[in-house]
Order: sequence, then C-alpha cells, then structure tokens
Amino acid sequence: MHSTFSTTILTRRVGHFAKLSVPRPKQQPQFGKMRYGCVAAVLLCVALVGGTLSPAARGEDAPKTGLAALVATVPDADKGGRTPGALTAPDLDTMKKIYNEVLKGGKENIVALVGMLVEPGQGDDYKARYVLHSMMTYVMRPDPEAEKDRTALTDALIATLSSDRPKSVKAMVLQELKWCGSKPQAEAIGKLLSDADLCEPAAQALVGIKDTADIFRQALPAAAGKNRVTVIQALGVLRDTKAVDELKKALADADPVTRVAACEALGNIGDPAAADAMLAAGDAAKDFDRTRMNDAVLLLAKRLIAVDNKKDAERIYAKLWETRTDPQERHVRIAALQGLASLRTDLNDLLAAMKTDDLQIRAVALRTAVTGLGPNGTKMLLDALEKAAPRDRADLLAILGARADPAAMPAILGMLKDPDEKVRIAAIQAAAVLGGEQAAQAVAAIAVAAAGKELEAAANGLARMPGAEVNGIAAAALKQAAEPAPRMALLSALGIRRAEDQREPVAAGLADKDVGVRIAALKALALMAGEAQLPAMVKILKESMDERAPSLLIAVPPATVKLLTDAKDEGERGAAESALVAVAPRSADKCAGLVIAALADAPPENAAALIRVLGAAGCKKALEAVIAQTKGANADLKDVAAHVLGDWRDRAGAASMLDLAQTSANETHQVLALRGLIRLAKEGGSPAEKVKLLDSVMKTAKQPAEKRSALGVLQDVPTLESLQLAVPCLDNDDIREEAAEAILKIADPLAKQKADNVLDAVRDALEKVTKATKRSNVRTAAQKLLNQVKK
Amino acid sequence: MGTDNLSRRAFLTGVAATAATVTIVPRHCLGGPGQTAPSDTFGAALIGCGGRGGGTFGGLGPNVKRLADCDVKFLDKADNKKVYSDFRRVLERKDIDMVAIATPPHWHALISIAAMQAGKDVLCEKPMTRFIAEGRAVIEAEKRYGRVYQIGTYGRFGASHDRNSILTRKIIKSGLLKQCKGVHFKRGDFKVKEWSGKVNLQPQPIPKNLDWDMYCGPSPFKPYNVDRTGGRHRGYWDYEGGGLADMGQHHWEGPCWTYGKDETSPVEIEAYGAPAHPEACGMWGWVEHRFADGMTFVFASGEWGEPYNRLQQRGVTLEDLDPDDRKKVLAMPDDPPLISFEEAVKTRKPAGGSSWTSHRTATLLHLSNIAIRIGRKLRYDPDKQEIVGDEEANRLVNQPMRAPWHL
Repeated sequence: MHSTFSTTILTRRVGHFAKLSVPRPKQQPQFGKMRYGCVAAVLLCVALVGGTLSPAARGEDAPKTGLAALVATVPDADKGGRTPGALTAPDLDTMKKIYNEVLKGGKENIVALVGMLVEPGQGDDYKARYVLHSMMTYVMRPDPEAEKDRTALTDALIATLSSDRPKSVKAMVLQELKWCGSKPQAEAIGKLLSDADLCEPAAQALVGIKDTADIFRQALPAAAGKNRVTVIQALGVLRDTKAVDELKKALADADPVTRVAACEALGNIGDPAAADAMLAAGDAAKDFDRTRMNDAVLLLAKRLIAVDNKKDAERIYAKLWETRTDPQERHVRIAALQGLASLRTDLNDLLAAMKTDDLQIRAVALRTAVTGLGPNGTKMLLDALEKAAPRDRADLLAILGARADPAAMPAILGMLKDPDEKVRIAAIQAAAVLGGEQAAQAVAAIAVAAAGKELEAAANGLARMPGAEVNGIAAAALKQAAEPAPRMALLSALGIRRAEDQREPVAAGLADKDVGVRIAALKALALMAGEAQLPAMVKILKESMDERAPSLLIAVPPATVKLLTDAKDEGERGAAESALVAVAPRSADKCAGLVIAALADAPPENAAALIRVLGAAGCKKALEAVIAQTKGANADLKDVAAHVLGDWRDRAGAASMLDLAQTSANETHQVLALRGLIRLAKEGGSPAEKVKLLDSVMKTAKQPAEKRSALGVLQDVPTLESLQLAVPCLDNDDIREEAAEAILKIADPLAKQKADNVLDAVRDALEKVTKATKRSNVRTAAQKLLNQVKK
Repeated sequence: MGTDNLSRRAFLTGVAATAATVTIVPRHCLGGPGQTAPSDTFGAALIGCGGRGGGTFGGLGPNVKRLADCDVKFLDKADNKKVYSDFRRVLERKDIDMVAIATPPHWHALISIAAMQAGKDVLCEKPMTRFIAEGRAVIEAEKRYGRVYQIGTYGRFGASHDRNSILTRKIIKSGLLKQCKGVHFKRGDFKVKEWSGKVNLQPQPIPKNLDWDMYCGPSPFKPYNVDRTGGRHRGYWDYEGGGLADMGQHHWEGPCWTYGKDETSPVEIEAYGAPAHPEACGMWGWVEHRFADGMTFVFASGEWGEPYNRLQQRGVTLEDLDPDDRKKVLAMPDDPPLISFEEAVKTRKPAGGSSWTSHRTATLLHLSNIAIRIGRKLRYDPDKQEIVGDEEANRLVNQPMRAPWHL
C-alpha cells in the first residue's frame, strides 16, 4: 500500500535535478484511487472507532489493554480555534498523565503507540501522533531520571524502522528521531540511506546526531541520483575530511546537481587540497551552478583563515579577484577584496579599489578600511595619508575618523588647515567623530569664523560629537560668533544636542537682531526649553506679524530668506508654534496661562496658532479656553478650536466634544467632535467607559459613517453592554452589515462564558444576525457560533 | 559580542563607524562632472507572487522596473522570460539588480542567500527566517557580497524617530545601567488561533499549475494539502511558526531597537503553552525572555490559558541612573537615522533593517517557538547563538534541510 505513495515521492524529487526545464510532477494519488485504499480505509476506520487497530491489518502485536483508550482521552481537535480544524490544546499536566501511563508499559507500549500511526490518507491518527511527539519532547528533558524512558522510546522507534510498517510511517518515525536520535541508533538509521524513499529523512536524523560521517562515507559509493546528493550534502554539513578525495571525484560527475553539491561540501569541509579542483570546477560552470560554486570557494577560503592557513586563503581570493572580472560577478570580487584586505600587510588593494569607478566595489573598499583591517590598520592608513592626493586624503581622513582610534587625532587636527576645502571638511568630520575636548575646541573655533560647507560640517560635527563638555564649548563659540550664519549654525547644534545646561545663551538668541537667528533659537528651544524660556517664546509668536519682519530679511542666509519669502511670515510663526507645541506639555499650566493672555490681542493668524498650542498643553485651563473659542465670534478660529477639541488627548475633553456634537450648527464641527469621541473610546478606558462613549456617539450621530466607525471600535469590546448596544443597529439599513460583523466578534468570546443571561443575549443577538444579514459568510459564521451556544 | 556588556567607548565607536559611513558616500552616487551617476532605474523581480507579493515589491521604491514574476504556482504559464516557476532561473538574469521575496518563510533565507550570491539586493517579507541558523547564513551572505538586505517590516524605523525610544536606547547602550529593570510587553495580536494549523491533513490532488516539490523545498516532503499553502502555511512548523512568527517581527523590531537588543539575544526563555503537535502550530499563553542586562521581554497571547501575571510593564528611564550618569547619557549623540532600502541601494550603505539587526528580532520569535515546542525553560548563549544544555532544543536552532537545499 505504501509503495504507491513512495513512488510518487521519488517522482516529485526529480524536479530538483532539472535546470531550465522543470517537469511537472504527476498528480498525487487520491485517497479513493490508492491501491487497496478503500478496503484499508474501512478496516482502519473500524479499528480506530473500536479504539485499537487490528493486529492482522498491521502485522504487529496489539496495543496493550487500555492504551487505545488512554490515547483516546486526548481532547478532540477542531474546537476552540477560530480556524476550523485548529489544534485544541490540552494542558501539560493532562498530557503528562498520559505520557506516564504509556511509559509505564516501557518499549512494548511505545511500539504499540507507534503502531497506531497510519499512512497519510488512511485515517485519523492525530491523537497517537500527538502523544508520540509530545511524549518524545517530555522524555528528552535533560534529566537523568528520564534516561530510562528515553532509551525505551528510541528503542521502540528503531524497532519500527526494521518492521514492515509502511514507509510513510517510518518517515514519521525518522522525523521524531531527527530530534531525539543519538549515537546508539545511528547504525540502524544508516541502513535506510540506501532506501530511495527514506534516505532523506534518515539523513536528516543522522545529521542531527552529528558524529555520523562514517555512516555517510560508507554509503557514498553505492548511492545514486538523489540519494547521492543527499549523502554528499550530509558529508559536507558534517565536515568530513576523510571524504575529500571522493568528493573531489564527484566534482567531475555527469550530473550538475551532484557537482555543485560536492563543491559546496568541499567548501564547508575546508581542506586546501580541494582548492584547485574547486576553482577549476567553478571556472567551467555556468549560470546558477557557477554562482553556487563561487560561494563554495569563498567558504573554503574562510575555513582556511579559521585554521590560520592564510597563504592558501590569499591565493584563492587573489584568483577570484583576478578572474571574476565580468561586471555581473563583481560581488564575487567584492567578497575576494574583503578577504584580501583582512590578510594583506599593505593597503594597495583597498586603495586601488577606492579609486575604481564601480560604486559597489568602492563603497565596500571604504567600509572594509573602516571595519575590516587588523590592528595595524591605523598605522597603514596614516602612512598612506602622508603620500595621498587631496581626493584620497579626504577619504582616508573619513576612514580614520570612523575607526575611532585616538592615535589618528594629531594627524586629523593637522589637516584642519589643509589648503583643500574637501580635506578640511573631511578632517572636521573625522575630528568630530573621534570627539574629546581637544577636537571640540578645534571644531568650535572653525565654526565661529567659517562659512558655507565648512561651517555646516563644523556645526554638524559639534551637534553629534560625544562628551558633556561639548555643550559649553559650543555655547562659548555662539557668544564669539560675529556673523549671523555661525550663530544660526551653532544654535542648531545646541538644539540637536538638547543642551539643557545652555538654555540661557540659546534663549538670548530670541532677542537677536537677525530674524534668521531668532528662528534658529526658537527651533533649538523647541528641543530643549524649560519654563523660564516660555515668556520670550510666546512674545515672539504674538509679534511675528510685526511689521519689522520683512526689513529683517536683509543679510540673512539664503535658506532663511527662502523660508520667510516663500511663506511670508509663516516661517517665524511656524517655528514658534512648533517650539511651543513641543514645550507646552512639559509646562502645561504655565504655557496655557501665557498663551491665553496673548490670545486676547493677537492677530487672527497667530491666534489660530496659539489655540493649537493650547491643544498641545492639554490641561484644564487650556481646555476651557479652547471650548470658549468654539463659541467665539470668529468663524475661522471656531474651526481651529473645533479641530483642537476633536483631537483632545484625553477623556477630559469628552463632555465638551459631546456638547459640541449636540449643539453646534456647523456639521463639520459635529463630525469632528464625534470622531474625537470614537478615538477616545478606541484609545483606552474600561469596557464600560468605552461603551458609554460609543453609546453617546450612536445617539448623536446623524451620518452612517460615524456610526460605522463606532461599531468598528465597539466590536473589540466583548461585554454584554457592548452587545446590547450593537444589536439595535441591525435595524438600520445603512449600518446593518457592520453591526452584524461587530456582533459576531463581540459574541465569540461571550459565547464561552457560563452566565445564563449572557448566553441568552448571545443567542438572541446571533439569531437576529442570521435573519438580518445579507452576507452568506456572516450568516454561516453566526449560525455556527449559535450552534455552539445552543450546545 | 553582545551589547549587554558593551562599554560606552565601544558603543560610541560603533556609532562613530556608522556615522562615518554616512560621510563617505562614494561620490559616484552623486553623479556630476567626471563621475558616473547611478542608473535611475533598477531591474527587479518578485519571487513569491501570492498575498504579500505586491506590497513587498512596492517596498523596493519607485525607481524599479518589474522584469520578472516567479512563483511555484506558475508551472503552467512559466515562459522563463517574464514568468518563472524556478527562482534560480530568475537569479541568472543579468538585468535584474534586486529581488523582492514574498514566498512562505521556509524559503525566505535560502532565496535571500541565493540572490545575494548572485549579486542581487534583497527586500524580504517578514519573518526573516524559519529558524535561527538561517539568520546567521543570511548575515554572512549580505556581508560577504556587500549586498543590501532589508526585512519587509519597519517598526525599527518608527522607533528610531521617537524621542523616548531614542533616549531609552542611549540609556541601555551607554552601559551605565547597573541593573536594567525594564519589562516590555506585547499583548495580543499574535493571531494564535487564526494561524494555528490543522492536525490531521489528508492528501489532496496537486493542482496542475503547482510545482509541489519546489514548494516543499528545504522542508520535509509531505503530501499536498491546500492548507499547507496560500497563507494557511503559517500554521505549520515546516513552513513558518504560527502567528507568533508571522506577526512577531512586526511587533518586536521597534522594541529591539529601542532597548538596544538588535545585536544580542536573551539568555533565558520560558514559555507557557500547550504541548506541541509535530506539524501544526498550536496554542500558547505567554513567553518570557530575560536578557543578560536584566531587561525582560514578554509575549502575551491573550488567546489561551491563564494570563501572564509575573511582572508589570516598566520602562527604562533616566531615573534608573545616577545623576552624573544621566548627564553622560544626555550628552551622547543620537544614532544616525536609519536609511531606507531605496537609499541603501543607491549609496551602498546598510539598510535600516539589515540582516544582522533583524536576525536578532527573528531570533526572539524562534526562541519563543522553541520554548513552546519543547515545554522547558531554555538557556541561550547570545554570542555562540546556541541553546545551552538541551540537545533536543538545540537541534531546532539549526535544522537539517532536504537536499539539495542547505545553508
């Protein structure tokens, strides 16, 4: 019976050997078409229903009395999961009782348990398989007391392999041995390496056992086709040095899959004697086979380095670097280059690679110089720096900085005054990466007087330079800077650093005569300000429409001019608003007080910004002010206030949202408020609070869209109250289907409760769903759940 | 080296190295006089054209041309020009620079590795791998060939822009915490029931258009059943690892970045779940991961058994440090921003979700599933990446593959 299935397995596997043409496997035999299938199925079903298998049908001893009944106590599958057929999960204690009962009967009982396994398509052996596998895991616990049970289990599994059980059952047993097998079972498993159908699972079990190379080596001469590839692969995985000669012969095999497998096995074994043959095989190979062989050769080189055979490894890398010159194989050269760099005593290969026009090779060369050189790397780089052209000096400086070796600092600082700007910038960046007070002072001194890219590099460097002392150094430089551009750059750096110990010098920038500097100060304060800076920030916001602003554009850097000219006064206002929004939550009450006072006489554009800042503050005082604005005279500000209220961050805003939704004549404001309520319900709170909020939405909303959104949140609240709120929605044509789906989701967990009133409500709701919905899948799901509840 | 014992100096060195690579963008990528600008458009292929295929391909960026589609279910229409059923034939094409991989996860690592061996850049759908050793092999391929690799989930990008996460990461990576008391939870949304497997699949006829042998690939050859495919593959150990493996990479990429666990792994793992079925992924209640620095990650399914009640959520804050150490942390520079796959391809810098970071997230998922499957508390060596003192569990770290597929 098993032969039909096994032959099919073999047929399918042929597909691996095809290259361009992949033959389509034959159809898998169906249950009813299998030889003896119907008769066997009937026999097996009868046996299973009876709690045991017929010894005659299996040709083995019957299970011990009670074993089948014991296995039958495993809970049935297909309950509890949302997916039909999902595994029901018994707890470990329940299963332990079963294991211990099975194990009491020793090997004989386990053999009988294995005897309950059946071929795929021949019946339901779920419980026996489940007990066998989970019991295997149980006895494999690292506990000396389990040793006796482990022996009984593995003996039983091995006994099955030599029985006349179907091969598919033996394959299942081998899959268990893959996890629990050990050296004493290896020989018996090895006998199956010559079996066309069981070679693969047997090999996997032996690879798991590990010390089994002898068995594979002995099997290799007789192995053919797919089995030969399996055995070769295993020899490679087990790194069997004794197989090298045979594997080298296989490099010339007529079958390309075998050749590739041999090459890969040799690469993993790591014997230098195979190098030339592997390189030659790779040279001759094409397409994907060549790709795999290249990788095998690279793996060989890595293995050789690991045993300190640098000479052979270097030879392999050099050969690949020289011969894989097709652009399509540049990644192989990249691998070779990295290997060479780790072995060479000079930088010639890397420096040459850095000058290539190939982006990918160049990038890897640079990265390798940073991370792939040995302990002498810094010295080699400094030697190269002395002799290098400007372009190369810049790259070498970047590399030296990235290596973070303090030994390079003197050379880097020396390059800060190089005639070439690119070199100077590279030196600034390298110094900044290395860090330390000396570097910080040098870079800050440049920032005070520099312009353009050099200033940008210095400011960026200060922004990211490690060390608490950098804040003070940058702030001192800020005071010294005579031009707006350095002041702006240094303010930006202090902001990025969150230099909270330098708030005062940064806040002083708010009074700068240059508008660009003021904006930079605001942006920096957004990241670091405390309460003490708030009044000055609010003042700027209030006055940003100041008629002086346009005249202040003179002589500020281009970026700021663009910012302000493109957006008129939005730049300054935007920066101030962002700053305050960032600061407001940290000092909510104080910020709200200042903003409310400023609101009184602020121009409308700035008042809108101030209202948004109140939203960020989020305190009671701010909420009251926003509510007042929703009822004000200015329509634009009412809109802003409605948005802010709708986005209010916590439940403190809920009552006002509801009030706005119920009383506002503006439909947009109603919707904003309702959406705010739905969001609050979604974001948190107890189930009761959520239902209360959503109930208010349902009663207030005039449009179906908001009711649908509310149902979307409600469906994740599995309570009776939630269900009771959803059910009436079935009567509303606009939201009936959404309500039906929500009820299904709410009812699912409720159906598992035991309270009668809950189950009654669930039943009523589901029955209404089955009648109301027009979607068959929803109706089916509801009916199914209903059936469960009725049980 | 695990980061838990990383000195501050070593950390800053790491930051510096990354920062410097930012500064040494090869000028060729910028174009300009005397320099060759990179091509504006990249040739790309999609391997695995089912559910997540289109979305994953979209992650390659706007400047790609879709030259080939490959799927084992294209057996009846493969022309080896535009449509393929064998990914190896796709990788042989010289005009394809990058691939998006959206096959079931038992193929993710092998196709990623093969693509990088063939010189392609890779965007791979999550989860990154099916077991731990696969991740190490993907890392090896990315580094060996200088390729760009990005996992198709972006939680760490979001975390890297969040101020609280940035501060937490600095605190952890500064090495100044004497004992980390942080406990981070992910409760729910693991789709445990939805993506559990059926326990007694029966053979069905193989669809004419499906190369079933290739579908099984490195996994054990089993009789065809539709439930092993089409998204429901998630419920079987042979192809994935249930909802935990599938959703987990989404949930933990961000926390791994925030808590500085993208270069290390936990040292103790304990799970509460039902005894495992040999094929079908089943039910579990929670998994607790403890790191060497004291940090704890908790997976809580909320779908089975008693709820987790051992520890409470607790963040890592400046208050956990001495006043002097707080200043040191605040003075630390931010990490450079993570870069997208598209930018990484153009600049040849590692993408934000490179293999060596995402591998550690995937390792969390795999260790969770091993603990669930084994039913025992595990000890793990994050440097050797081996389970200590449990042979059966360790065999799940590096699982044999069906020839000719192997790592």
